[in-house]
Amino acid sequence: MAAGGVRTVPRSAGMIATEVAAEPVATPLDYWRLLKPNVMQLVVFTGAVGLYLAPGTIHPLLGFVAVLAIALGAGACAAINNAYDADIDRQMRRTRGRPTATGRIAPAEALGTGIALALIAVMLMGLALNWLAAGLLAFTILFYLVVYTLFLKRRTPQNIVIGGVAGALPPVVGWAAVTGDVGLPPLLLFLIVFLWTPPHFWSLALYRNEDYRRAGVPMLPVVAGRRRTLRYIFAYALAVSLAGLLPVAVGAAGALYGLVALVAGAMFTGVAWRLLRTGRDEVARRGFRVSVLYLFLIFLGLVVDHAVFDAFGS
Amino acid sequence: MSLDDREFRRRQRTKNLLLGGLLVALAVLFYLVTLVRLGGN
Repeated sequence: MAAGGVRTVPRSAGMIATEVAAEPVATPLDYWRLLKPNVMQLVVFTGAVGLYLAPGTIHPLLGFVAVLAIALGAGACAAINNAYDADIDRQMRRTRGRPTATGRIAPAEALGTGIALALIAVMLMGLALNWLAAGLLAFTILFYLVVYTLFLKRRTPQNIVIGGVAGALPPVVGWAAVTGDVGLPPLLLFLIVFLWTPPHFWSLALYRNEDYRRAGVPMLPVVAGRRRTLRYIFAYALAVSLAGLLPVAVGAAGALYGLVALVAGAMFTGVAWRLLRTGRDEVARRGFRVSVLYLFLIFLGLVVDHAVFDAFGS
Repeated sequence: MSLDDREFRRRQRTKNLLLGGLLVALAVLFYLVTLVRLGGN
Protein backbone atom coordinates (compact mmCIF):
# COMPACT_ATOMS: atom_id res chain seq x y z
CA MET A 1 0.00 0.00 0.00
CA ALA A 2 1.44 3.32 -0.99
CA ALA A 3 1.49 6.32 1.29
CA GLY A 4 -1.60 8.52 1.45
CA GLY A 5 -3.98 5.62 0.96
CA VAL A 6 -3.39 5.30 -2.79
CA ARG A 7 -3.05 1.65 -3.59
CA THR A 8 -0.56 0.31 -6.07
CA VAL A 9 -1.63 -2.93 -7.70
CA PRO A 10 0.21 -5.15 -10.17
CA ARG A 11 -1.72 -5.88 -13.36
CA SER A 12 -3.26 -9.33 -13.44
CA ALA A 13 -2.06 -12.46 -15.27
CA GLY A 14 -1.72 -12.29 -19.03
CA MET A 15 -0.59 -8.71 -18.95
CA ILE A 16 2.83 -7.24 -18.66
CA ALA A 17 3.58 -6.96 -14.97
CA THR A 18 3.63 -3.31 -14.31
CA GLU A 19 2.55 -1.08 -11.49
CA VAL A 20 -0.48 1.15 -11.87
CA ALA A 21 -1.95 3.50 -9.35
CA ALA A 22 -5.50 2.62 -8.40
CA GLU A 23 -8.06 4.39 -6.27
CA PRO A 24 -8.44 2.95 -2.81
CA VAL A 25 -11.72 1.10 -2.38
CA ALA A 26 -13.62 2.52 0.55
CA THR A 27 -15.74 0.42 2.90
CA PRO A 28 -19.54 0.86 3.15
CA LEU A 29 -18.91 2.63 6.45
CA ASP A 30 -16.86 5.27 4.59
CA TYR A 31 -19.80 5.97 2.29
CA TRP A 32 -22.09 6.20 5.30
CA ARG A 33 -19.71 8.71 6.93
CA LEU A 34 -19.59 10.65 3.67
CA LEU A 35 -23.27 11.46 4.23
CA LYS A 36 -22.58 13.02 7.67
CA PRO A 37 -25.15 10.91 9.55
CA ASN A 38 -25.13 13.18 12.62
CA VAL A 39 -26.23 16.19 10.61
CA MET A 40 -28.68 14.01 8.68
CA GLN A 41 -30.33 12.90 11.95
CA LEU A 42 -31.19 16.48 12.87
CA VAL A 43 -32.43 17.33 9.37
CA VAL A 44 -34.58 14.19 9.24
CA PHE A 45 -35.96 14.88 12.70
CA THR A 46 -37.02 18.48 11.95
CA GLY A 47 -38.35 17.48 8.52
CA ALA A 48 -40.36 14.62 9.99
CA VAL A 49 -41.83 16.91 12.64
CA GLY A 50 -42.90 19.39 9.93
CA LEU A 51 -44.58 16.50 8.14
CA TYR A 52 -46.27 15.25 11.30
CA LEU A 53 -47.62 18.66 12.30
CA ALA A 54 -49.10 19.42 8.87
CA PRO A 55 -52.88 19.23 8.64
CA GLY A 56 -54.24 16.40 6.52
CA THR A 57 -53.22 12.81 6.10
CA ILE A 58 -51.03 10.94 3.68
CA HIS A 59 -50.42 7.25 3.11
CA PRO A 60 -47.75 5.96 5.54
CA LEU A 61 -45.58 4.82 2.63
CA LEU A 62 -45.65 8.33 1.15
CA GLY A 63 -44.77 9.75 4.56
CA PHE A 64 -41.82 7.40 4.69
CA VAL A 65 -40.78 8.39 1.17
CA ALA A 66 -40.96 12.09 2.08
CA VAL A 67 -38.66 11.56 5.07
CA LEU A 68 -36.38 9.37 2.96
CA ALA A 69 -36.17 12.08 0.29
CA ILE A 70 -35.26 14.67 2.94
CA ALA A 71 -32.59 12.29 4.29
CA LEU A 72 -31.19 11.66 0.80
CA GLY A 73 -31.15 15.41 0.15
CA ALA A 74 -29.18 15.96 3.37
CA GLY A 75 -26.82 13.15 2.38
CA ALA A 76 -26.34 14.70 -1.05
CA CYS A 77 -25.41 18.04 0.51
CA ALA A 78 -22.94 16.33 2.83
CA ALA A 79 -21.28 14.30 0.06
CA ILE A 80 -20.82 17.29 -2.25
CA ASN A 81 -19.69 19.50 0.64
CA ASN A 82 -17.13 16.81 1.57
CA ALA A 83 -15.90 16.73 -2.02
CA TYR A 84 -15.45 20.50 -2.17
CA ASP A 85 -14.02 20.98 1.32
CA ALA A 86 -11.57 18.06 1.38
CA ASP A 87 -8.65 20.51 1.48
CA ILE A 88 -9.81 22.35 4.59
CA ASP A 89 -11.16 19.19 6.23
CA ARG A 90 -7.62 17.78 6.14
CA GLN A 91 -6.39 20.72 8.20
CA MET A 92 -8.99 20.47 10.96
CA ARG A 93 -8.81 17.99 13.82
CA ARG A 94 -12.60 17.58 13.91
CA THR A 95 -12.88 16.71 10.23
CA ARG A 96 -9.56 15.18 9.20
CA GLY A 97 -10.98 11.64 9.57
CA ARG A 98 -13.64 12.23 6.90
CA PRO A 99 -13.30 9.80 3.98
CA THR A 100 -12.59 12.54 1.44
CA ALA A 101 -9.99 14.11 3.74
CA THR A 102 -8.17 10.81 4.24
CA GLY A 103 -8.36 9.98 0.52
CA ARG A 104 -10.42 6.81 0.97
CA ILE A 105 -13.10 8.35 -1.24
CA ALA A 106 -11.92 10.55 -4.10
CA PRO A 107 -13.57 13.99 -4.30
CA ALA A 108 -14.87 13.17 -7.81
CA GLU A 109 -16.57 10.03 -6.48
CA ALA A 110 -18.07 11.97 -3.55
CA LEU A 111 -19.33 14.57 -6.03
CA GLY A 112 -20.90 11.87 -8.23
CA THR A 113 -22.52 10.21 -5.23
CA GLY A 114 -23.90 13.55 -4.08
CA ILE A 115 -25.33 14.48 -7.46
CA ALA A 116 -26.97 11.05 -7.83
CA LEU A 117 -28.49 11.28 -4.34
CA ALA A 118 -29.76 14.81 -4.98
CA LEU A 119 -31.47 13.78 -8.22
CA ILE A 120 -33.03 10.71 -6.61
CA ALA A 121 -34.21 12.77 -3.60
CA VAL A 122 -35.89 15.47 -5.69
CA MET A 123 -37.44 12.99 -8.14
CA LEU A 124 -38.75 10.82 -5.30
CA MET A 125 -40.30 13.81 -3.56
CA GLY A 126 -41.84 15.13 -6.76
CA LEU A 127 -43.25 11.84 -8.02
CA ALA A 128 -44.42 10.46 -4.67
CA LEU A 129 -45.61 13.67 -2.96
CA ASN A 130 -45.81 16.94 -4.86
CA TRP A 131 -43.60 19.26 -6.87
CA LEU A 132 -43.76 22.16 -4.41
CA ALA A 133 -42.06 19.98 -1.79
CA ALA A 134 -39.63 18.74 -4.46
CA GLY A 135 -38.89 22.32 -5.52
CA LEU A 136 -38.28 23.38 -1.93
CA LEU A 137 -36.00 20.37 -1.43
CA ALA A 138 -34.07 21.23 -4.61
CA PHE A 139 -33.80 24.86 -3.46
CA THR A 140 -32.50 23.70 -0.05
CA ILE A 141 -29.83 21.51 -1.65
CA LEU A 142 -28.75 24.20 -4.11
CA PHE A 143 -28.72 26.91 -1.45
CA TYR A 144 -26.53 24.80 0.82
CA LEU A 145 -24.11 23.93 -1.94
CA VAL A 146 -23.97 27.10 -4.03
CA VAL A 147 -24.67 29.89 -1.53
CA TYR A 148 -23.16 28.35 1.63
CA THR A 149 -20.42 25.98 0.46
CA LEU A 150 -19.18 27.78 -2.65
CA PHE A 151 -19.69 31.45 -1.77
CA LEU A 152 -20.07 32.04 1.96
CA LYS A 153 -18.13 29.45 3.92
CA ARG A 154 -14.63 30.63 3.03
CA ARG A 155 -15.45 34.32 2.62
CA THR A 156 -17.47 35.77 5.48
CA PRO A 157 -18.22 35.25 9.17
CA GLN A 158 -21.88 35.53 8.14
CA ASN A 159 -21.45 32.11 6.48
CA ILE A 160 -23.53 30.14 8.93
CA VAL A 161 -26.04 32.96 9.50
CA ILE A 162 -27.12 33.12 5.84
CA GLY A 163 -26.27 29.47 5.22
CA GLY A 164 -28.66 28.63 8.05
CA VAL A 165 -31.51 29.08 5.57
CA ALA A 166 -30.73 25.63 4.16
CA GLY A 167 -30.73 23.94 7.55
CA ALA A 168 -33.98 25.65 8.51
CA LEU A 169 -35.98 24.57 5.46
CA PRO A 170 -36.55 20.81 6.13
CA PRO A 171 -39.62 21.37 8.38
CA VAL A 172 -41.10 23.53 5.60
CA VAL A 173 -40.34 20.75 3.08
CA GLY A 174 -42.00 18.18 5.37
CA TRP A 175 -45.09 20.38 5.78
CA ALA A 176 -45.33 21.06 2.03
CA ALA A 177 -45.04 17.33 1.31
CA VAL A 178 -48.39 16.80 3.08
CA THR A 179 -50.30 19.98 2.32
CA GLY A 180 -48.88 21.09 -1.03
CA ASP A 181 -48.50 24.61 0.35
CA VAL A 182 -46.62 26.61 2.99
CA GLY A 183 -48.45 28.16 5.95
CA LEU A 184 -47.47 30.16 9.01
CA PRO A 185 -46.61 27.24 11.36
CA PRO A 186 -43.78 25.83 9.16
CA LEU A 187 -42.44 29.37 8.70
CA LEU A 188 -42.23 29.67 12.48
CA LEU A 189 -40.31 26.39 12.59
CA PHE A 190 -38.05 27.81 9.89
CA LEU A 191 -37.48 30.93 12.01
CA ILE A 192 -36.65 28.87 15.11
CA VAL A 193 -34.05 26.72 13.32
CA PHE A 194 -32.67 29.76 11.46
CA LEU A 195 -32.08 31.68 14.71
CA TRP A 196 -30.80 28.56 16.45
CA THR A 197 -28.05 27.88 13.88
CA PRO A 198 -25.58 30.73 14.66
CA PRO A 199 -25.26 30.18 18.44
CA HIS A 200 -24.98 26.44 17.81
CA PHE A 201 -22.07 26.74 15.36
CA TRP A 202 -20.39 29.70 17.07
CA SER A 203 -20.24 27.68 20.32
CA LEU A 204 -18.48 24.96 18.37
CA ALA A 205 -16.22 27.52 16.66
CA LEU A 206 -15.22 28.93 20.05
CA TYR A 207 -13.67 25.72 21.32
CA ARG A 208 -12.44 24.69 17.85
CA ASN A 209 -11.08 28.14 17.13
CA GLU A 210 -7.56 26.93 16.30
CA ASP A 211 -8.95 24.42 13.80
CA TYR A 212 -10.82 27.12 11.89
CA ARG A 213 -7.94 29.57 12.08
CA ARG A 214 -5.51 26.98 10.68
CA ALA A 215 -7.88 26.09 7.86
CA GLY A 216 -8.56 29.75 7.09
CA VAL A 217 -12.31 29.49 7.58
CA PRO A 218 -13.55 32.94 8.71
CA MET A 219 -15.80 31.85 11.54
CA LEU A 220 -16.87 34.68 13.84
CA PRO A 221 -14.38 33.93 16.69
CA VAL A 222 -11.53 33.89 14.15
CA VAL A 223 -12.52 37.18 12.50
CA ALA A 224 -14.25 39.20 15.22
CA GLY A 225 -12.64 37.75 18.34
CA ARG A 226 -13.94 35.89 21.32
CA ARG A 227 -15.65 38.71 23.20
CA ARG A 228 -17.83 39.78 20.30
CA THR A 229 -18.74 36.17 19.51
CA LEU A 230 -19.91 35.65 23.09
CA ARG A 231 -22.21 38.67 22.83
CA TYR A 232 -23.64 37.43 19.52
CA ILE A 233 -24.21 33.95 20.93
CA PHE A 234 -26.16 35.39 23.84
CA ALA A 235 -28.21 37.68 21.60
CA TYR A 236 -29.14 34.83 19.25
CA ALA A 237 -29.88 32.43 22.13
CA LEU A 238 -32.24 35.01 23.59
CA ALA A 239 -33.82 35.64 20.19
CA VAL A 240 -34.40 31.95 19.47
CA SER A 241 -35.80 31.39 22.95
CA LEU A 242 -38.35 34.15 22.33
CA ALA A 243 -39.08 32.87 18.82
CA GLY A 244 -39.69 29.46 20.38
CA LEU A 245 -42.75 30.95 22.10
CA LEU A 246 -44.28 32.26 18.87
CA PRO A 247 -46.15 29.01 17.99
CA VAL A 248 -48.15 29.49 21.22
CA ALA A 249 -48.67 33.20 20.55
CA VAL A 250 -50.20 32.56 17.13
CA GLY A 251 -52.24 29.57 18.32
CA ALA A 252 -50.25 26.95 16.41
CA ALA A 253 -49.34 25.11 19.63
CA GLY A 254 -50.83 24.72 23.10
CA ALA A 255 -49.84 25.31 26.71
CA LEU A 256 -47.90 22.07 27.01
CA TYR A 257 -45.56 23.12 24.23
CA GLY A 258 -45.40 26.61 25.74
CA LEU A 259 -44.10 25.14 28.99
CA VAL A 260 -41.47 23.10 27.15
CA ALA A 261 -40.40 26.15 25.13
CA LEU A 262 -40.11 28.26 28.28
CA VAL A 263 -37.97 25.70 30.11
CA ALA A 264 -35.80 24.91 27.05
CA GLY A 265 -35.40 28.62 26.27
CA ALA A 266 -34.40 29.41 29.86
CA MET A 267 -31.84 26.60 29.70
CA PHE A 268 -30.35 27.79 26.40
CA THR A 269 -30.30 31.48 27.38
CA GLY A 270 -28.89 30.52 30.78
CA VAL A 271 -25.90 28.67 29.34
CA ALA A 272 -25.33 31.47 26.81
CA TRP A 273 -25.31 33.98 29.68
CA ARG A 274 -22.83 31.85 31.62
CA LEU A 275 -20.68 31.62 28.50
CA LEU A 276 -20.82 35.40 28.12
CA ARG A 277 -19.69 35.85 31.72
CA THR A 278 -16.91 33.25 31.74
CA GLY A 279 -15.88 32.80 28.09
CA ARG A 280 -14.47 29.38 28.98
CA ASP A 281 -14.09 26.56 26.46
CA GLU A 282 -15.84 23.99 28.63
CA VAL A 283 -18.88 26.30 28.88
CA ALA A 284 -18.81 26.66 25.08
CA ARG A 285 -18.83 22.86 24.80
CA ARG A 286 -21.78 22.76 27.17
CA GLY A 287 -23.46 25.49 25.14
CA PHE A 288 -23.07 23.40 22.01
CA ARG A 289 -24.64 20.37 23.68
CA VAL A 290 -27.44 22.44 25.21
CA SER A 291 -28.21 23.95 21.80
CA VAL A 292 -28.76 20.47 20.37
CA LEU A 293 -30.92 19.58 23.36
CA TYR A 294 -32.89 22.83 22.93
CA LEU A 295 -33.83 22.06 19.34
CA PHE A 296 -34.69 18.48 20.21
CA LEU A 297 -36.95 19.58 23.09
CA ILE A 298 -38.69 22.26 21.02
CA PHE A 299 -39.56 19.88 18.18
CA LEU A 300 -40.42 17.03 20.53
CA GLY A 301 -42.60 19.46 22.50
CA LEU A 302 -44.50 20.35 19.33
CA VAL A 303 -45.06 16.67 18.54
CA VAL A 304 -46.28 15.79 22.03
CA ASP A 305 -48.47 18.89 22.22
CA HIS A 306 -50.01 18.02 18.85
CA ALA A 307 -50.55 14.37 19.85
CA VAL A 308 -52.21 15.37 23.13
CA PHE A 309 -54.44 17.85 21.30
CA ASP A 310 -55.38 15.14 18.79
CA ALA A 311 -56.17 12.65 21.55
CA PHE A 312 -58.10 14.90 23.92
CA GLY A 313 -59.10 17.93 21.88
CA SER A 314 -58.87 21.52 23.12
CA MET B 1 -2.84 -12.89 -5.87
CA SER B 2 -1.56 -11.09 -2.78
CA LEU B 3 -3.58 -10.56 0.37
CA ASP B 4 -3.86 -6.87 -0.50
CA ASP B 5 -5.23 -7.76 -3.90
CA ARG B 6 -7.78 -10.16 -2.44
CA GLU B 7 -8.92 -7.48 0.04
CA PHE B 8 -9.15 -4.97 -2.79
CA ARG B 9 -11.35 -7.27 -4.85
CA ARG B 10 -13.46 -8.26 -1.84
CA ARG B 11 -14.22 -4.62 -1.09
CA GLN B 12 -14.98 -3.95 -4.72
CA ARG B 13 -17.40 -6.89 -4.81
CA THR B 14 -19.08 -5.74 -1.58
CA LYS B 15 -19.46 -2.24 -3.02
CA ASN B 16 -20.96 -3.58 -6.25
CA LEU B 17 -23.39 -5.83 -4.41
CA LEU B 18 -24.48 -3.00 -2.12
CA LEU B 19 -24.98 -0.66 -5.04
CA GLY B 20 -26.99 -3.31 -6.91
CA GLY B 21 -29.10 -3.92 -3.79
CA LEU B 22 -29.78 -0.20 -3.39
CA LEU B 23 -30.86 0.11 -7.03
CA VAL B 24 -33.24 -2.84 -6.68
CA ALA B 25 -34.64 -1.31 -3.46
CA LEU B 26 -35.16 1.98 -5.28
CA ALA B 27 -36.97 0.25 -8.15
CA VAL B 28 -39.24 -1.56 -5.66
CA LEU B 29 -39.90 1.72 -3.85
CA PHE B 30 -40.91 3.48 -7.09
CA TYR B 31 -43.18 0.53 -7.89
CA LEU B 32 -44.86 0.71 -4.46
CA VAL B 33 -45.24 4.48 -4.72
CA THR B 34 -46.90 4.02 -8.11
CA LEU B 35 -49.33 1.50 -6.61
CA VAL B 36 -50.23 3.87 -3.77
CA ARG B 37 -50.60 6.87 -6.08
CA LEU B 38 -52.75 4.96 -8.56
CA GLY B 39 -54.77 3.58 -5.66
CA GLY B 40 -56.02 7.12 -5.03
CA ASN B 41 -54.43 7.60 -1.61
